[in-house]
Amino acid sequence: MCIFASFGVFPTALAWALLMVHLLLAAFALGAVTHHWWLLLRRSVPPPLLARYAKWMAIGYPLALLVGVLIYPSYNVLVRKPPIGVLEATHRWAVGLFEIKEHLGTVALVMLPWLVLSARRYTQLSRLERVNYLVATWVFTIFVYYAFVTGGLVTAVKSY
Amino acid sequence: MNKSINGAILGLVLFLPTYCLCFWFDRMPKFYPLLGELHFIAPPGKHIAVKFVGSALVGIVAGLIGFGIGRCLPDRAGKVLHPLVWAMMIAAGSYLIGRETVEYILH
Repeated sequence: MCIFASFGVFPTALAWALLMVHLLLAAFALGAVTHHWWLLLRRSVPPPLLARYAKWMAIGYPLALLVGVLIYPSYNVLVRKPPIGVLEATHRWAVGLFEIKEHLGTVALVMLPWLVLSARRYTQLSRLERVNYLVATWVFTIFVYYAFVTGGLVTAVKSY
Repeated sequence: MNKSINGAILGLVLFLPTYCLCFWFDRMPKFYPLLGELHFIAPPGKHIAVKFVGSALVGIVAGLIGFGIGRCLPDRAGKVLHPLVWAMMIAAGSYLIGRETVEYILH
């Protein structure tokens, strides 16, 4: 079956190249997110370093998400949905995990301004704001790790 | 309490129900051709909507409005917003994860 007027669906080679870019950006974002989380776990947090990692997180994560959005139509048509894609028929659970990844990834994006603003004003935060910032950082980090692992899992399932 | 942080939290508080309601009512704008529909020759007229992008964009608009409102609220509003955001996160997370689990993983 042929697709027409599907502007967002890239040829397979280009989709793979974009997937690799998505992976590299995701690894970069994961590094920034992990460093940011690790800094908050320490007893004495150096505020300039915290703000720096939050800045890299704010750059890396939306970029990784943007490339993910670009290749999403290709995934939908070439990998997931019939008549061309087979994932929904063969590994429905993987599609479910991927759908959850999309939701958590989107929520994480909207959490980002909260984390970046809190990191930049860390010394001025009240006790309530600090506690919530710490909890939000844990939640955000879990969401990003889930997205990274699930993305890799679905790529592996699709590849083999 | 910090007004910008209050704004970011209210943005998230408004984003979450908006995003969920888009899925609940299955209503989201279609951003053809890149973000909305993909047309197949057969069967004629069949559309595949990329739901989450449309819903996310609607939610982000609500979030931006929330951010603007949140910055205008008095500082003490943070005492309400901080617990409220976690209540919304738990409710929205349960709905979204539950929805996909029932539809795909348990199906």
